[in-house]
Amino acid sequence: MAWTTPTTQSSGALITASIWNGDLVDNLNYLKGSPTLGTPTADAVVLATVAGATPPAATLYKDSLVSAWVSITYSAGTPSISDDYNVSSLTDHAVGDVSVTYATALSVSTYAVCVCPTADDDDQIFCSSRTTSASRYVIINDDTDTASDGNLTVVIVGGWQ
Amino acid sequence: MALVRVYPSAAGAAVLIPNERQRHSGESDVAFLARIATHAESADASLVNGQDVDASTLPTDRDFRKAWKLSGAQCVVDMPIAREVHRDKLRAARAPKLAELDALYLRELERGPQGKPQDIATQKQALRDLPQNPQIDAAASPAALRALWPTSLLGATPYRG
Repeated sequence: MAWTTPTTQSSGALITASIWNGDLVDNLNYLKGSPTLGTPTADAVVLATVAGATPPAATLYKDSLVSAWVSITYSAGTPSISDDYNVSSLTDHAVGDVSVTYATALSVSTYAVCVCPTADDDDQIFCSSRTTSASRYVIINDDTDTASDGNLTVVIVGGWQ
Repeated sequence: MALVRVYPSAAGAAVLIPNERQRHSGESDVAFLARIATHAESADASLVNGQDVDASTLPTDRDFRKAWKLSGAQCVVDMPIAREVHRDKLRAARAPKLAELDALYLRELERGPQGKPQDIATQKQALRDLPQNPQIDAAASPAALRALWPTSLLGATPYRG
């Protein structure tokens, strides 16, 4: 099947219903020939749909994305960011008490939080608060049952509605 | 010079640490911190009256983290609060020891004339007197406070520094 429209691809071009020509190879060739799936300045795919109650397998929706993550390391008593996505800053509130502020705020605060210690398996970590803009974590050392500094990894899933 | 913003807090100063990856090209330390801090302050109403501080001058002493406070453009360890932190640690560490001695005291009383309850009472009094040790008030630094930990009475020091 010959490709008819659009005759040229441009940055950020999408295959829409009106230009879908029904031939898988043609459409894949179209995608292959386009600069990126997103924009030429930032390789990105924008998802606009929220998953239904029973989402199909192996399908991405905007509420199934990791919306932020951060690896926090303590050195000489000060927490710092080893690596991250969508984190603007940390706030060290006290021993074993740190919050994470998101660079781009989420749209709802009912997102999922996964947090775990990365160095000391004697630590337990709790999410003590979460808003669309930030979340806060308390680290408890099991041996002493007191707040304790410890390396941690935080993963936020969802939050885009 | 990396800057952080320090906020007064009942639990010791809160320290905002900007994510270096968020710095715009050519952005100065002051402008970078101001932008990131404004963002964090809008997310956390408790972050008010902050002061920009050179990160390299922050105390490294986490044992007395609760005693951190702003003093002009510096974050320092407030020694009166640090002394109370030390006393609280003494009280927490002696509590189980006193409970053990209570049981021993009763046992000695039950032994009748052969018992030596006064010896136990003397040990209990020594534990009760620990927070009143005048050397605590004379301690001029966190290191001096740490050195006062009575390992012979309370066992291993809880301090990490």
